[in-house]
Amino acid sequence: MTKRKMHLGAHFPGVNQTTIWNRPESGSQIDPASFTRFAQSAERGLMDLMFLAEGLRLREHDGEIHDLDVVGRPDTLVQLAQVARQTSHIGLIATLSTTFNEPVEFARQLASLDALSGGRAGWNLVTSHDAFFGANFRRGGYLADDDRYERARAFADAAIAVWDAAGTRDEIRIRDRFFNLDARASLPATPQGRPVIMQAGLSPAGRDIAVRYAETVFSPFLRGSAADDYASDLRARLVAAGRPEDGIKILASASFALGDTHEEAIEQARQDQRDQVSAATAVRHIESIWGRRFDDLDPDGPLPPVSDVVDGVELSAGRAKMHQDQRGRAADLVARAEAENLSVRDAVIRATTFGAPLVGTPAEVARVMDEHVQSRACHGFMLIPTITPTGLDRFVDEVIPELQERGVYRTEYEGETFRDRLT
Amino acid sequence: MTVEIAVSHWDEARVVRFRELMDAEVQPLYAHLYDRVTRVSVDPTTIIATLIASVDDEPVGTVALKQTGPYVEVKRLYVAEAGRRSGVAGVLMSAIEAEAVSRGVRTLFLQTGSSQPNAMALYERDGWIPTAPYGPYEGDELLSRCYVKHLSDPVIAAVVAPDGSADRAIGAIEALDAAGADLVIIEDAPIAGGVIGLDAPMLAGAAAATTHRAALAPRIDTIHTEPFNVAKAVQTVDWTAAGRAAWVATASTSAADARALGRRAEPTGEAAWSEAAAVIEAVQRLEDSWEDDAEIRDRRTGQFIDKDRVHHVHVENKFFSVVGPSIVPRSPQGRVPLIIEISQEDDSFTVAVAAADIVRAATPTLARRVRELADRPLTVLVDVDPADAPRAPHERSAAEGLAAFAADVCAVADADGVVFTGPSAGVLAAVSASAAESHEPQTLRERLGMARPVSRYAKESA
Repeated sequence: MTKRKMHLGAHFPGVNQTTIWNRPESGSQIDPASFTRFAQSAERGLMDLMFLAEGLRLREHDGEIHDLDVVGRPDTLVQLAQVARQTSHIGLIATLSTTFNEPVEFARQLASLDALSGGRAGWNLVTSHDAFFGANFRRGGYLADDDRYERARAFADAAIAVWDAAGTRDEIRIRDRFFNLDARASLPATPQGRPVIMQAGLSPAGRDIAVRYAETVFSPFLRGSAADDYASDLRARLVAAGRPEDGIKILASASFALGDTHEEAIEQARQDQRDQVSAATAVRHIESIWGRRFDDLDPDGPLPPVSDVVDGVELSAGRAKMHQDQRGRAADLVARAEAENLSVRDAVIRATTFGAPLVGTPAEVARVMDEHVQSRACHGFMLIPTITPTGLDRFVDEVIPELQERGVYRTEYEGETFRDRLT
Repeated sequence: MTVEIAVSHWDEARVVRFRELMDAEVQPLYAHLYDRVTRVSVDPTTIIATLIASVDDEPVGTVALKQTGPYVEVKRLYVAEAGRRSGVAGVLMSAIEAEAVSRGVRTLFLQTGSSQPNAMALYERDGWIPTAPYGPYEGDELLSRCYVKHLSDPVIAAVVAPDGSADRAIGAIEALDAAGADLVIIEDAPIAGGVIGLDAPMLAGAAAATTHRAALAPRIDTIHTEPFNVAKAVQTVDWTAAGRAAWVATASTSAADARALGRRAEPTGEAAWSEAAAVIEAVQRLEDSWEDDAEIRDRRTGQFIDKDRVHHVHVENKFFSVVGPSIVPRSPQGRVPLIIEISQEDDSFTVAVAAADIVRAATPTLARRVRELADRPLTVLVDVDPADAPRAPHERSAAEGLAAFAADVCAVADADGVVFTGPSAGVLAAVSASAAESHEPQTLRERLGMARPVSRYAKESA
């Protein structure tokens, strides 16, 4: 029986909590050369796509700009337009909000990316609704929570109408609750027509969006029952919608640490975590769970008592809300720290270990990745390196040959477009 | 032998004497033409400077600088018999050019005559290029042989109007870059006007990868876009092009644009430019929102940025509000030069006077007018259609003719440079003919001699 083929994405390690910025090899997150360098590495590794995230406002903590993580990024579309001219095969995924864009303008921007890249444009469809981001936009935080997915669908339908009319002179007329548009099709026909659409997010409404529009999803589950349940749920939804059950390629979020021996890899992973969670980061993490400042908290000392939690205070703004149940999360942390005698910093490191990273020798990591794909837990991985822009190099040089040796990964790019390679 | 140059005066006795000698030599050469050519007399109040050359304390020659309408002319170069064949003419010409440079003159003109081949040869050896008779000599192709010389390189710009093919648009930008253009304006097609529209900032970002010299200036509508998004796009073009960026702010009043975008009705011209000014202000505040040295990567404290050097902008006006800061760190030029295009004295003209770094004027009259009214340093460019270039009777090549024509229009417009318009083949030839020698990579601000601004917020926190 032939093996299921693995797909790989490369998440640019820019503005991200997992990006390590304090090592000598940590490069610029804004220099355009970093994006080119990273994309060319990923392309050398025959990867399906490079992924750029977007945040429409700098993160804040207690009303001040959050200063402990990498911050500052380019406009996604302009940056990808440049990368498009310096690469030839890799798909280019832009994360763009359906809330703070307008569909016709957006559609022509994605079509521009498809034209400039020769058919390699991708769109990570995200919705955002809160007033924190809205404060940077004309409409403000205008959208009720319940409406965000409904607007997202209307937005995607309008954009698709524009893409489908490209190359014609047809009139495009859109009338719905959100849009009242009369445009003349005026875009060039581009190699892919519609860009490849990606979705991330686990809510039922998010999964509906994925089944309706997406050809790939960015999943947080690397392995285990959560990954299996998610994959089988998507398959069921796809079949119910009349789509092939593998019509959506699941890319599991995957940070990784490599070593010449297993022990070296574990040590590398441990060092990465300490560099990701500095003493200051650990204290701030505790503050955002406890809902209050701790100006004198010793990062090497014990956690504050659960009784210090101030309920209902969200100190962090500009990232996914992780602290719905503050008191419960605080209690879990304290219990674990007491059981294992962990300091503040070690407790936070333990709590924020991202996505159970792939740790081992190149051969070990390749074997585990292969197993996950063959078990249908996912179709591949979104690799999240820790170092800009060289963090992918060792993976490309040492893991990719192992994957090829196992017969699970391509040895050359097939097809003409991003979509050709993904399907 | 040393030639001494001294400042003199148009009415000084020795200078007057040299002019009499010159008239006595030159006038007979043209006696046969004087019934067919209008003779131009010199109004002494238009003389800017007069120099006199001496060898061993003996006066041997003179030259003057004259304002003739919009033109600055070298006038009345004369070397007496005693000083000839010893380089005095060359020394006088160098001195008068230096005088002009010190007065901020960008381009010099001169007129000599068809019966003075030695003079013509001298000028041509010295880098002067033939131009059609200008100003008071216009139309006289019998006697006048005119020349022009750039004292500073004019800014050479052109426009690329994408036709729907990304590869053709990028190719056109690359060709202009290779030809030596300093600035390429990338048109953004009206979204609903039936014209194929690729995104101009994205074309600029893409072209940044394969161009080396030209600044890239996407045209961006301020009415149907988000000020926050405009800022991050403009800043990112500057990053991708390492400081070779500008942007052209426009204000759509098209009903078709409004219907296609669907967010709002189209504004009137006055309201549109009032809003455009507000958007420009917001964009520039966002460009300043990160101070230059905000990224500190302090391993000891764990701080990646100094949060006191990254600022909310809190823009609030009757059109919109933006809290900020930008998500893009301060770009290589700090604030990306803003271009406004004017074709009449309307609301866009008012905003150009108040806010533009670079004005593209459709006519020389508008170009002069905007410089008069703008109370600050301003780069002014004027549209030139190469097809309108006149031919000089002594033209040596079509390329030189184009360069001379551009210089003439610049002088008439008191402009720093030109925007060549018309069919792309003609534009490319004109750019190639007019562009200065290649130079080291530099930002557009460096090219234009514009200082890099300090963030306005840096002053507050200092």
